[in-house]
Order: sequence, then C-alpha cells, then structure tokens
Amino acid sequence: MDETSLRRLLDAALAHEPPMEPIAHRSLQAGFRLRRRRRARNATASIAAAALIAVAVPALSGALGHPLAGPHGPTDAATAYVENGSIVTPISETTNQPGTSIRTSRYPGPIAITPDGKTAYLASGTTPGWVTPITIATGAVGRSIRVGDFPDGLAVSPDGKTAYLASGTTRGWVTPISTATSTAGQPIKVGSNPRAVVFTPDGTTAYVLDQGNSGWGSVIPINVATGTPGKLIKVGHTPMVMAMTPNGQTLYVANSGSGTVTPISTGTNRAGQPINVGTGPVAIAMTPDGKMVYAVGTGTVTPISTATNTPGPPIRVGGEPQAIAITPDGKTAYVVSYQPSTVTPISTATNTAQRPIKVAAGPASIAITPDGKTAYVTCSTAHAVTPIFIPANTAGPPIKVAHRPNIIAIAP
Amino acid sequence: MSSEEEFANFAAAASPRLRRMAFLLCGDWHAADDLAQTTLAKLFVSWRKIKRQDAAHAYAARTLVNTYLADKRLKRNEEILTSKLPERSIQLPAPETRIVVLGALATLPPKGRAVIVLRYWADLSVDQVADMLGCSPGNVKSQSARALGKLRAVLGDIRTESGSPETHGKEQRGAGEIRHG
Repeated sequence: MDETSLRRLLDAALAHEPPMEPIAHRSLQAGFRLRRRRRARNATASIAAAALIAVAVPALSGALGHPLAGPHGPTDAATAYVENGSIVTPISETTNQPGTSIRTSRYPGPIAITPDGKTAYLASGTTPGWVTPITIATGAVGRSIRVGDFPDGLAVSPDGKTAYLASGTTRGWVTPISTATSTAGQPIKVGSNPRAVVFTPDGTTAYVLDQGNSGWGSVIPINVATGTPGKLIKVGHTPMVMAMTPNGQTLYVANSGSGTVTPISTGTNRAGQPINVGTGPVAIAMTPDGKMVYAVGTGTVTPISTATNTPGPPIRVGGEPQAIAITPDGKTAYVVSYQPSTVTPISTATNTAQRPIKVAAGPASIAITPDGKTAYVTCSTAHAVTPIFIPANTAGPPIKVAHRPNIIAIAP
Repeated sequence: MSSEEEFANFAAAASPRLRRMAFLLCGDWHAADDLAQTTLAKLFVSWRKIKRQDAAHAYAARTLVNTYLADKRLKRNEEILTSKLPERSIQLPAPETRIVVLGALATLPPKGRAVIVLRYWADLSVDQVADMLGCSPGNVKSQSARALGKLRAVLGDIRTESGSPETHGKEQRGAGEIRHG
C-alpha cells in the first residue's frame, strides 16, 4: 500500500457520491445567520422590579430574495464586524437608565425568561451553540450549557422546569434543558432547520417550527413528558413565527414566503385552510383574550378573527413593518416600522392605525411591560432603546446602550 | 460583483471538493454536507478578509478540518452516522473496496484520520498539514505512521475481499512502502 494506492483507495471510498444538495446556497443562509450574530453585540436588562433584557442582534433580510432574518430582522447594511464578546445590558423601568452590562458568550440569539421572572436564558454561539442562564436579580451569569449548532429558537415551559432550544440548519435538534440543574438532556431529532419553539399553556406539548431544507415549512409537536416528536404538520413556505391562543387550542403560523397564516388545531394536530394575508407575514401577535391575531406583512397589518379564521381588511402602516406587540389589556397593538423609524399604534377595537410615533433610527423589536405602561423599542442604528409611554403614546429620550440592540425581553 | 456574489461563486466552485473531503473525514454524506456547509458559513462571515489574502481554498480546507476535529472533541461519545447506500450503478471500483476503506478509516482517531485525508488525498505536505492542524511536523509524522499502521492492518487483505483490478496489483506490493516522513 504505497501513497498512490492509498490515494486510489480513498478515491474509491468516494464512489457512489450522491447528488449534491444545494450547499452553496444554504451556506450563504447559514453565513448570514452567523454574521447576524457576530454583528450582534449587546443587550439590556433591568435589575429593578420590572426588568427588561435586550440583546443586540442586527439581523439581515432578503438576500437572494430569501427572507433570512428571524422575527427580529431589519435590513442592516453595516459592514464592521466587531469581534468582542456580546453584552447584555439591563434597563430599569423606573428610571429608564441602563444598568451595568453583563458579558455573555458571543453571537447572542433569542432570550427566554422563566415564568417566575428569576432567570433569563440566552441562546448564543454558532458551532456549537450555547445557552447561558442569567440571574436577573443579581445579573450573575451562570455556566453556559452546550447545545447544537446554530441555536435559533428558545422557550421555557409554563411550569418553568424545562427550556427547549431548537438548533441546526440542515439537521434539526431540540435540546431540553433542565432549569433546576442547568444541564442539557438528550437532544430530540426534529426536522432540518428549526426556527422557533412554543409550549402549550398546559405544558404537555411543545411545537417546533421547521423551515425545512427547501423552505417549505412544517410544525412538529413534541410530547414534553416523553420527549418524542409526533407527526409533522405541513405549513407554508418560509414560516417565521408562531402564536398560540391562550387556551392552547389553536396555533397560528406566519408563512412569510407564502403570504399566508396557517391555523393548526392542537387537538387534532391538523392544519386548517391557510389564511391569505398578502405579502409577508414576518411577525404575528395575539390579543390576550385570544380573539384576534395580527399578522404583519409588507406595509400592512392584517387582523384575523380566531373564531372564524377569516382576515379583516388590511390596516395600512408606514414603510417596512417588522415587529408587533400588543398591550396586556389588548386595546392597542404597536407595530414597528424599520423604514421610516416609526411605531404605529393600532386600536384593536376599530382596527384603525393611529398617528405614527417617531423613534430613534433603525427600530427592530418591541416589548411591552406587564403593567402596560411602557413599550420599549430597540433601535439598532441609533444604538439605543426608545421608551414609548402608554397611553399618551409619546416617545421618551432614547436610552443609549453599547451597540446595535435588537432582541428585547422583559422580566416581570 | 458584490461580496455576496463573489462568495456564492467561490462556494459553488469549492463545495464539491470540500464535500468529498468532509466525507472522507466523517464517512457519511449527510454529515459531510453539514460539515461543508458549516465550513462555508464560517468562511462567509470572514469573507472580506479571506478573499484579500487570496488563499480561500486553503483556508476552506483548514476550516473544514478544524470544524470536524472540534466537533469530534465535543461529541466524542456520539455514534457515527451511517446512511443507506444510494442506489446508483457506476462501473468504477467494486463496492466492497469502498466499504472496506470506509470501515478502515472509521477505526482511526479523528486526528489520525484528518492527517491521512490531508496528506494522502489532499496531497498536502507534512509542514502544510502541521500548519493546518496547529501542531508540530513531528506530531503529523507520528500521527500518520500510527494511522497508516492501523489502515494497513485492516486493508492488508483488501485484495481478497474485493476483486477490483484497480487496487489488486498495488496491494500485493505489501505494506512497508509508505513513507512516514
């Protein structure tokens, strides 16, 4: 066995090479996700009674005509990559001032907070991914838990005992994490390109949104007690986000590539007729009473009655809307438009848009405090978080955070 | 041409070879696709820097091998994935050769396997491999000697198992001819 014959043997091992999957295209997608996280720097969280956490993730969208960004995806043309670690910055709701920043692992992704509001879990990293627990009261960062590559969806179960992290770009995994011990359990193989996880209110089932390799999406139910995935439910193209009714009976999936919203009955795990909402939708929100779903499309927001699953007339909002949040009393939906930098309140009683509120440049994401008095808007271009006071709907002075905040989460 | 288009062109050109190298490292075409894709995604992030250095292909191979090794370090206990063999009739080497070689490669530790693939398939020199893996040339030599010994033990009687004329004659020349240097 000389060098030539070894070379020949190695070539022989390559026989029967299967046709190539579109690696080049998918690596661009994965690369965008990686870059999005690499550009992401900091975040914000308050240590006071009503706390919030924001993580900077300036997302990209629309390259190759493919919506690549997650639910928090402004088009961002920044080219400077800062190679330092990511930061989580607390903001106190009472003073609207940033607190001492917390350093976490690189490339922050989604955040999930336990129902008791004590711990925030931050997904970050690329290959591999990590989940980092942060004690909100003290800002103490726990030991990171290793999870699969490209973490992209994180949710804590209603009992607060388990966090589910979805990861992967060609093979999907869901890693259950015990919040008591901060350890990862046996990963569950789910789909190929999972993007989001949501638990039913009773905590028996978790639904994982999978974008698939081709972009044709599906939703896979997981039995939380046994950790076994059920039969996949087909949805539309490039699904981005999900919203569940408070009674846990229906799950709505926004298919950004199909311009539809697919209702799924959790009783039968069957998809209903897709609801046409025009272009988009890239974000979705449900009223607290579960009667209406608002789907954010391109330039419009479509209200959907959950009783009949029929869309109402689209509500025009400015520019490129991309995030939405609804007040705890359900009276107002706030829609964030990246370009121009505005937030448009929509009265849910009449489904009419009110006068847009100017915020700092490059708004990306929005979260509303549990008391419904303040909405916080991360403004990535301005490196700031703009508070909006409710019900006056006036914007406060931007709260400066270190760099490009995007994702924001509020701890009760 | 935009930076993204440039990258897309590079990725299209580089991916077949990267994928094959990945397959020799991990022995599974699906895992190879994953590995090649992860590698390209990593390259994309630093693309501006890499393309200036005019060594994108070398950098890609380095990233691939190190991604593979990092993965092995972290997932040491994980089973190696095996997929069903695709049904496609090509007249080239007898299927037995392929299976025997893959089986032999699977007996190697990750680093030894990487050394074999880089040196004898990618035709890199000891110094290049050492540079790529971040270890000394001496370490590369000892790794390849050990890995070759192991391969020889498994592949020594490959000619009796496969009737492939491609490998038959060479095999009979015996095991002692590989240069370890």
